[in-house]
This record gives sequence, structure tokens and C-alpha cells, in this order.
Amino acid sequence: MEIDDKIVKRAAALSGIEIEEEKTEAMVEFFRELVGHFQGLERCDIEGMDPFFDLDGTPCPLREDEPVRWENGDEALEAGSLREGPFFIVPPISGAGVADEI
Amino acid sequence: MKSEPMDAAVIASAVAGRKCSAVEVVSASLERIAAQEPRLNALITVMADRALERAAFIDRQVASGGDPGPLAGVPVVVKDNLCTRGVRTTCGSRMLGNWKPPYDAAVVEMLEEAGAVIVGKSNMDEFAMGSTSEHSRFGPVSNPRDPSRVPGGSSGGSAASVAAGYVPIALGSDTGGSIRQPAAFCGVHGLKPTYGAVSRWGLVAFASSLDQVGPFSRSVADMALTMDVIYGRDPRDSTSNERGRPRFAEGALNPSVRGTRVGIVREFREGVLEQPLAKAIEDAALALGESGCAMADVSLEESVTFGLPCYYIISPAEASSNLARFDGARYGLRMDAPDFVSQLLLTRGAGFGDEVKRRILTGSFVLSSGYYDAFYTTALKVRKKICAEFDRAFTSADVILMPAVSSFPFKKGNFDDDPVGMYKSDLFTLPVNLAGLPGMTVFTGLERSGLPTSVQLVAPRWQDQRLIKYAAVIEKKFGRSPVATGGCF
Repeated sequence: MEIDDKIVKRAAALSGIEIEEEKTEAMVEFFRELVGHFQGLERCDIEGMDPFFDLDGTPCPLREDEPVRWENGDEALEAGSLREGPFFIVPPISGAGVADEI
Repeated sequence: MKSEPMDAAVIASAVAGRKCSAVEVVSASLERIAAQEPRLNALITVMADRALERAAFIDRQVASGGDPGPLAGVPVVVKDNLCTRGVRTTCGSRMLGNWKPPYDAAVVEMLEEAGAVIVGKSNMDEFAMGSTSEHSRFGPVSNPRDPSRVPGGSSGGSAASVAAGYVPIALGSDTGGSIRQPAAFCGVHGLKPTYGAVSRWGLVAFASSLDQVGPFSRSVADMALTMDVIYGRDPRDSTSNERGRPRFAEGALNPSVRGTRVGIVREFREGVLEQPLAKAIEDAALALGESGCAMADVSLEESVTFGLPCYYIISPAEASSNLARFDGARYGLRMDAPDFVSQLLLTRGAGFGDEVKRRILTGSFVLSSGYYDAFYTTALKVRKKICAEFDRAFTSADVILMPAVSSFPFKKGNFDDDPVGMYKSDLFTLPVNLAGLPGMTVFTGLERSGLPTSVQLVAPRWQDQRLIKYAAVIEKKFGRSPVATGGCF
């Protein structure tokens, strides 16, 4: 399988991570070596195997998705990236998207 | 306060019996940390104020006749990917900045309810991705047994804290060996419980089908004491479960293994390990034999051959999904940009280190259109085969004895330009995560060089207590792990 900078840049775009131009070649080399190891899985006989889903074959017990009242609003706001008074500051939502690049 | 190693159980008993105060114990721990940290860099945050307040609370509880719990006044370190209310939780990353969680992780709550006092949060490979504890925004951790070497990773700071005698107990997380490998490198015990046996509520996720929280200690008795506190179902973690309620401390006290079978892995017998590590396996087998165990030959050929690529497809795939939440909007770092997409790219580019970027990109690649079946689906099928192979091995053995590592700790910088070389060092630990099994690194001694030897025990799912029993037998033969540089706990 041919690994080139297009594959790496596509993975970077899907990841929402900008890779500096000078680091692209090193990332291509890394991908080549790692994918070489991945291809070793072709030697494993998985004919008729189902993909792994869970360990015990029993579903994990789920908890109810119940809203919980947060007692301390300041504490919750403190955990956000940016705040102004009693509000989170959300990122700007206008501008170009990445859909075309992907 | 005497300056000689003390077990957690000894501390708890002394504090509860008013032979010493929790404040004295915690102060001694903090002094030790202050003296050693410039050399080791094992901690990201020292929680001196919260620890001393907590210790004073325990002393008041004792004075008023209350039950301070089984870990009364025991100083503990937790890995910095476990949430601590109001105390920064960084995961060793710039991405989280000084994020302060508004809640404690379940295991933090459990430790504190048992009377333990958290004195610090340990340094780690960023987001638990690494095997050397060099990939941290806060700089590399040094191995207390030889500071020119790495302590292993990703829970290297927790392992180093116990080896250096900061604390008798620390918590780490293990996704592919991140407790067991640093335990082996630092010469302490480290246990990864069965997947689901310990709550992960409040653990910052790396790879959700593999992550597990577990303890480090220098004695099997302390390991058992900690497991008794943190083991069990937590309804807040939907992957947590419970099969009975084993009494770990009892297993450590009465380690009867007579008449059981120990599986020796055929593939690890010759030429794979550095000689002293191979000898550690032989000596541990002899010790178990003397205690009445029979040895059985088992094969883990597929786990050895395919475990590494399987793990390095599945774990990055899950990481790329889990770490998508770090978008510059909800937590920590936010770079300034005119629109959301630019902000996302800038923030994630600046916030994540190189190793995390490598893994996220790998995950996005193996999950992407055109490669999903070839890599991800294939790896899931191979994982199922690895689970089946362990199940087969456990039909002829009650526990498996194998190495945790193939070499002594690496020199710092050894893998700077060879990330895949670093990945290969996880060969002996990651199949255990893929199969969801409990595994434990057991300290077996120090070489003349001062570097530690160890073995790994692996048990069937939900047989975590079995590890404690066999480890206690091995410890009886080889002795407990000594403090690296003459510490107080």
C-alpha cells in the first residue's frame, strides 16, 4: 500500500489537526512503518470470525440518563475555556468549513 | 516521624491508634517530595494545602472517636488524568491548560472516603500515550533507580512516586501496559484490574474499550488493601461491573496456591528477554513450584504475533474519537482565530504534542472511508482471536506467568526518533488489555546495577484476587520492593 503526503493530510483534516509542512515528511515515514506492521494482520486467519464487540457477551448495565442539578454554577463555568460573567464564551461560528478539504 | 519505609497498613493503624497523627505523616511525605522532586519530576501538582487540611480532618475524626477508614492518613498520589475537584487536571498536556474539574473521579472519592490523603498528581505521557513518561508538557520523569533512565509510561510519575518513597500507594491507568511496564521499570508492584472491575468515572478517556485504573505499591499487602477500597461496581460508569466481592487483603495474608497450575508461555522462553529478566521468570516459577504449584506449558502465539498491530489500530481509533472533544470550546486551551474551523485547527495543532497527534491521525486514518474494513474491522476480528487464545490457555492454567518487559529501563531519549520502536516495548502487556484480563507486575529483585527485575502474572477475567495470592507467594521468596533512595514511606 502506497503511503504519501495526501493520505497524511487527509487524516490530519479528518482529525481537525494542522500539521506543519516541515513535519509532514516525518509523519509520512511514520505512517509507512506503522502501516507495514498493520499489514502483518493479513497473516492471521480470521475467516468466519465476527468482530470483537464486548468481553463477556453480556451488555454493560446502563444508568439512567437523568439530568442532575448543578449546585455551583461558578464551578461549572470555571471548567470552560473562556467565560464572561455568568456565560460561557462560545467560539465564533461563521467562516469557512473543512468539508471541501475532506 | 520515623524516616524508614512504612506500609500503608502500618500508617493507617498508627494514625487510628493515635501513635502518630495524619498531619505528621502527610508533612513527612511533602518534605520527601520537596527534597526529591527537582531530581525526579514525578509530580505535576503537589496538593500540599488540600492534603494538610484533609489530614487535619482525619486527626479530628480520630480524636472524636470516629472510624477514619482502612487507609487513615495514608499519603497517596494519583495520575494526572484522574479528575480532582478544584485541582488542575492536565493529562500532561497543554491542551487542558489549567482545567479544574468540578468533580472528583470515583476512585479519588473512594480513596478519600477510606481515609487516604492525596498529596499530588503524577506526571505522565500526554493523554497516557507513551511508554517512557518523556512525552509530557511538564518535562520528562526520571527513574528513581537510575535517573539517567526513563521510569516507563505512561504512569511513570505514579510508579516513580512509590519507588522513591513519596507515598506507599499510587494510582495509574493502564490502556496497553501503562501500569505494569512502569512498575517493572521502577521496581514496584503494579496491578491492572479486570476491565470493568474498577470505576473509570472521572478518568479522562484514551481508549475506552481498553482503559483501566489500578494501583502501584511496594508490598503485596498494600496492593490488596487498595484493591479492597477501589474494586467494585459504580453505577456512574456503565462499563463497570462486579462478579462477587473478593477480599484481597485475605488473599495476601493467606496465599494458598497448592495444587494449582501456573502457565509458562512457550513463546517467551528463549532469546526474547535480557538474561536477568528471563532468570526472574525461572526463579518465580521455582518459588511457585516450591509452594505446591504445577507448571503447565501454554502458547500465546497469536497474541505475541498479532497483538501489537491489533492494539495500535484499535487504541488510536478510540483515541481519535475520545480526543475529538478537545476542540478549544469546552475545556482548557483556546487559540484566537476569526472562525470556528480555524480555531479548531489552531487549538488542536498547538495543544497536542507530537505523539498524541501521531495517534489521532493514525486513528482517523484506520477509521476513514476505504481503510475501515482493511484495518479496523480486521483488528476487531484479531482481537476476538486473542481473547479466545487466552481462554484456551486458561483451560490448562489457573494463572499465567510471563514477562512484563523484555529489557531494563531505556536510557532517556532512546526513542526520540523511533516512535514505532517505543510501541514495540508494549509487546508483553498489551495483549492483556485486548483480552480485558487482570495482570500484575510483581517485583522480584534488584540487580547489582540497582535496576529491577520483575515478572507478570495474568489471571482469567474477574479473578483479580488470584493475582494477589500468587504475588504474595513470590514476594515471600524475593522480598518487598525497597525504597529507591531511603525514603520515609
